[in-house]
Amino acid sequence: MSAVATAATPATPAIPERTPLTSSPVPVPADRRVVIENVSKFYGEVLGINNVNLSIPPGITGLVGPNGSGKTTLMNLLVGLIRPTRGSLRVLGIPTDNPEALFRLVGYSTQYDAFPPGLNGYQFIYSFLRIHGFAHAEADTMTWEAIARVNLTEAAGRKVAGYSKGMRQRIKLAQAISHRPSVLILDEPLNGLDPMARAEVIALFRELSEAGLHVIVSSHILHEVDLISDQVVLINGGYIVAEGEIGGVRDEMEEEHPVQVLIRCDRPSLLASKVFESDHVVEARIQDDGGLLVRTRSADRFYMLLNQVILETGLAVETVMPTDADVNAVYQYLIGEKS
Amino acid sequence: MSETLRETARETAREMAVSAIPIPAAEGRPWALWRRQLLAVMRLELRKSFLGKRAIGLLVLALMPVFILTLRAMIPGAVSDPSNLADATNELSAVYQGFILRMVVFLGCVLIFGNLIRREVMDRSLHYYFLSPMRRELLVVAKYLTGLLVAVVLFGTSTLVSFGLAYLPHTGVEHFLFQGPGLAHLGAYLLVTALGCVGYGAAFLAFGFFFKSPAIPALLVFGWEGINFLLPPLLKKVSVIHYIQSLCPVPFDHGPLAVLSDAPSPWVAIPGLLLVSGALLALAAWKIRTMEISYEED
Amino acid sequence: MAVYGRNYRRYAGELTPPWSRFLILPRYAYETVFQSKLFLIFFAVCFLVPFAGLLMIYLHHNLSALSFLNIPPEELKKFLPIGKSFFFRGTWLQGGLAFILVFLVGPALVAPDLRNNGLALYLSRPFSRTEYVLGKMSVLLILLSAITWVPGMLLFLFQSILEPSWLGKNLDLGLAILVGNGAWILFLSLMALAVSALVKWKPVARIALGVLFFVSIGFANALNEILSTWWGYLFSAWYVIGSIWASLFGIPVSADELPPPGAAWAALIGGSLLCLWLLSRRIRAYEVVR
Repeated sequence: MSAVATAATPATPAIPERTPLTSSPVPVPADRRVVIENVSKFYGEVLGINNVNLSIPPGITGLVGPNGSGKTTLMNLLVGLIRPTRGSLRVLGIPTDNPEALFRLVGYSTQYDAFPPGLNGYQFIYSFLRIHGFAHAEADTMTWEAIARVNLTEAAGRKVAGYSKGMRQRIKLAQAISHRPSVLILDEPLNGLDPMARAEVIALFRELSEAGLHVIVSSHILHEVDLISDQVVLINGGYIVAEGEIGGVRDEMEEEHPVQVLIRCDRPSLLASKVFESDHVVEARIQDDGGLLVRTRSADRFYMLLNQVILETGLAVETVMPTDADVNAVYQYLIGEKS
Repeated sequence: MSETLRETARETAREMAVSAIPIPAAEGRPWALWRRQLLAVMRLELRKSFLGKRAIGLLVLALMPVFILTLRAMIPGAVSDPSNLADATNELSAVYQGFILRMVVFLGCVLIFGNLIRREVMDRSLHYYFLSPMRRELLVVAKYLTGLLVAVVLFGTSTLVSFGLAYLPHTGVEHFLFQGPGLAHLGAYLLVTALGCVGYGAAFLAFGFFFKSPAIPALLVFGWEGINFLLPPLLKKVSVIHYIQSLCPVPFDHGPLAVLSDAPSPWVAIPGLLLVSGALLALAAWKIRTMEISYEED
Repeated sequence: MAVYGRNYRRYAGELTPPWSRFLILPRYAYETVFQSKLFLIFFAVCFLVPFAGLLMIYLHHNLSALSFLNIPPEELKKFLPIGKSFFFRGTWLQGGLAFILVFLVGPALVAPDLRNNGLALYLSRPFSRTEYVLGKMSVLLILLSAITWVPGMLLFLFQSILEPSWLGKNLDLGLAILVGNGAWILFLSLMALAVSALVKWKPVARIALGVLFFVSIGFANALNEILSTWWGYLFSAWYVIGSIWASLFGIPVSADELPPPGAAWAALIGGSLLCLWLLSRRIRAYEVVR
């Protein structure tokens, strides 16, 4: 890229670094989880989702899958907009066919880019808070708070039909969080948002999850899912393909999809010859730029071996980088190859 | 990221962490909550559907009989004998039973109630209600009451003004109103208008749950009600117009082909209509309980 | 950024003639229309009356087929008159069915494009608003022609073939069938498109079309009854076209039944222009939200 182009391009705001969620020593009780038991949904003969079993703890859960995989179906089932053909769902112990209790705890931002006609941003949020049962003063305060959180204060008096796509996405998010739910279910909430707004929204998700809320987010933007999610659920063709923390999911795939690690050091050939002695190393390839790309069936054993080689040979290592330990790679292996 | 932003986000998170505090009214006293929710939905429905450009068609419909009777009152010679109140009574009866009841109220109710649910599905905004902590049956009641309020106010006012305009060019009206049957006639017309809104409203609201296009069943009902005077007595009973027309103060002449039958008494007509309307509303409430959101293309 | 390869070329092949491009709209509209069983049944029913007319014309010229009735042929001919009344009643019946066809098909033409922002897709091509309206109108005009003037003219020609001398004396009937039905289907198409464009939801547009048609009849009758006049008829398209048909077919009517033909034509043309104006306001590639 030329220097001129670099100068003209505004700097993309950095997405906050992910704080890894330390695993709690105490198991999370069922009534603090979102539980999906043997759920299937068929639209006539078309499969929506089949035999899904999930137990989602607090934190940010990324729901990832290609178009038509069943992400929206799963979310709509969680909030009772559609009913399962089989199975049951409970959100924090509340069955999903009990809207009176469920929606005190749950906020949902759907994929539908549609709004009640004739309302401005303020009215859109305020009206539904009144339907919740909040009195006028309380609803008014909560409305302005929600609007401020998504930076739409100046546009609150304008009709929602006149908003840009990003503004409509934000007002939907504001409506979902306005009644201070314990569980946020968001269907592609980052769609249409500019980089600044994305960063702000992601920060909000992060803080909410660290406070103990459930945030279930579906997205196609894999690197963001990777950064913000504590655990992911991969879905394809109506089936859950994998679920859990990214690292754990990747570890379980090592046998079928060896982990790739890129090492930059002063003597790549020496390192290659050393690592080849191990049975868990499948491939070691010296790149054109001098880096060594190793594929191994056991990342843990490889790292221990690398330490050993460094100690024995005094190898000067510049970089050790797994190249396929993220959601993107997991997605490609589990879903991309099969489609 | 700025410190202010982080602080705001933390504050939000803290507030939401202590969220899910039950609304006090929900604990052991649901009626107060339900009343608040009902009123909230009614306010929203009024703002969305009945204030603004969407209501212009309804307004024009309600003003049509007023327009006709205004012309009658204003055009010299339109009233042949101002002292003959019977003329005004008969003409008002013809306008009311032939036009206001059969056309304005009926088709107005189709426009109001037939669209309460279908329009929401077309707008793709019904799910916002379903995502609220509110009984879905209450939503049906709230929508129905909103439609009823609008229909009764609009068509009741149209009836009231039409009544006034019918007698305006005549003399001796005060005596007719306050010492004669005038006020009773007015009360009867207003009651019939209200009952028509109740009955047709419940029917078309229920249609909205069972038919993708309420226009076609509405057309069939329109035809059925239109030929009601030709039907045998047993089939006559299967209609709204048979009951409410019997409450009108002046019988309507359907012509030589009309099949005569005993008019139902008010003690049967009114409770019967209310019962059937209640049953239709209960059916709508049952249907919405199991309704799924699926915004297909029509 | 270097550009190399330069192997992208614009299409340089043959294009269809510009005048024919609006026909793409009816092509896909008919696919949807004929998927409806209700419409198919109704469309088939629309041909019952012309078929009955065909039978009547045949029997009028072949009275021997009815010899089993033991009625003298001169008496039989009185029951099967083929003249202006015959064609007037046929036009009247088919005209009513034409409204029902428009009620079923019309609302689905423009409303879905407006609601789903489809107009922007059409109008961002070398495709004008006029072509768009023409295309949508042609859906209705073709279907309506099939049940109005086409069977009417076929019956007219059939009668002429069976009785060549009749044709010379009744050429004006042929003209009446063409002009009368043409005016009605043109007005119906414009009205349906205008209502479909005004109300963005198909079911609501259907209700609005029905309300407009029937309320106008009731309003017309009420106005005339109260004011003892015929001006009310001008508010109802059904009475207006009835007057036009009666005048074209030479059927005498009193002012109590229908408005004068001159006023009827003026009302029809005025109504058509109003519909065109509404269409020009609504058929745009963008919507301004205030």
